[in-house]
Amino acid sequence: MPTFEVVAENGRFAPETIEVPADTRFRLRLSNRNAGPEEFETTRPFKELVVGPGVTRTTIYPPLKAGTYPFFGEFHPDTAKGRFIAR
Amino acid sequence: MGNALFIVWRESVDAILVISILYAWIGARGDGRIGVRHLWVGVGGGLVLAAVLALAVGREGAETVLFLYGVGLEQSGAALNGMLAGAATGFVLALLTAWLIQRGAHWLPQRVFFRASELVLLLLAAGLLVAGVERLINLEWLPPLLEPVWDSSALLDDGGTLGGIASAFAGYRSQPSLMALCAWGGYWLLVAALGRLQQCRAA
Repeated sequence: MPTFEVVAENGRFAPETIEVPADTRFRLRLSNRNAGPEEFETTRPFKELVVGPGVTRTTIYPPLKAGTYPFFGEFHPDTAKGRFIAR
Repeated sequence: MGNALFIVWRESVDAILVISILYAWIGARGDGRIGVRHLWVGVGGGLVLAAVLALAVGREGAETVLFLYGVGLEQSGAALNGMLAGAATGFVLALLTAWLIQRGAHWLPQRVFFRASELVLLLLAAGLLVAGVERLINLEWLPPLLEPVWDSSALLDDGGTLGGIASAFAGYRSQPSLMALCAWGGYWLLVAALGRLQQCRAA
């Protein structure tokens, strides 16, 4: 299963654009380097991943059809924004 | 806030339903105080078990609760207050639900009361089963077989409020895998078969 790494730092995600293979299950590994917690969230498909400061956690996404899927950090909704692009 | 409210409400309602049904059942049999005492011992054990389960299975919920506290460190506290308010509202709603169940138990004929609570518990079990199967699929212990079988997110999105309730209470998925669908179907077939068996025995 392919794994994609995202770092949450200073209220932002890096990278903000993640290219994932379409129609493939994949793993997302989130490392939180913020001072506080962060929640990585996508509304479609609906997924939430709460990560405490200094903690790394993973979640698994079901196969996505080709397209763009926005994600955001629930605790920093103004700055922590990004997208999966499934190709 | 909605999330915290919903988690607390659902978990409390689960527990209250099980306790009320057992309580009503023991009361209806008229076996007296011994049964009731055993029930409360069971509730104590259940609470310990629930705490362990909450830590092991419901880690997401538990972590959300733990982080309520961390949020305040970094933010203005509005999010923290929102979540705390949500959790408190959820608990009050659960108490109201418990009260309704108790009242309902008096108003409704006992048969109807047991039927309704049985249905709710069966639906909840289906929801838990689907969630469990999806976890096993994510761990790659089970193949998804075909996924998604359909996409009904335009009709009822399981990320939305109504869809979220259907998802938590009955295992609804807008993009189900064939494996989850089989588990769900198999579960209801088993329930129907056991129900028939019981009816035959009763007759």
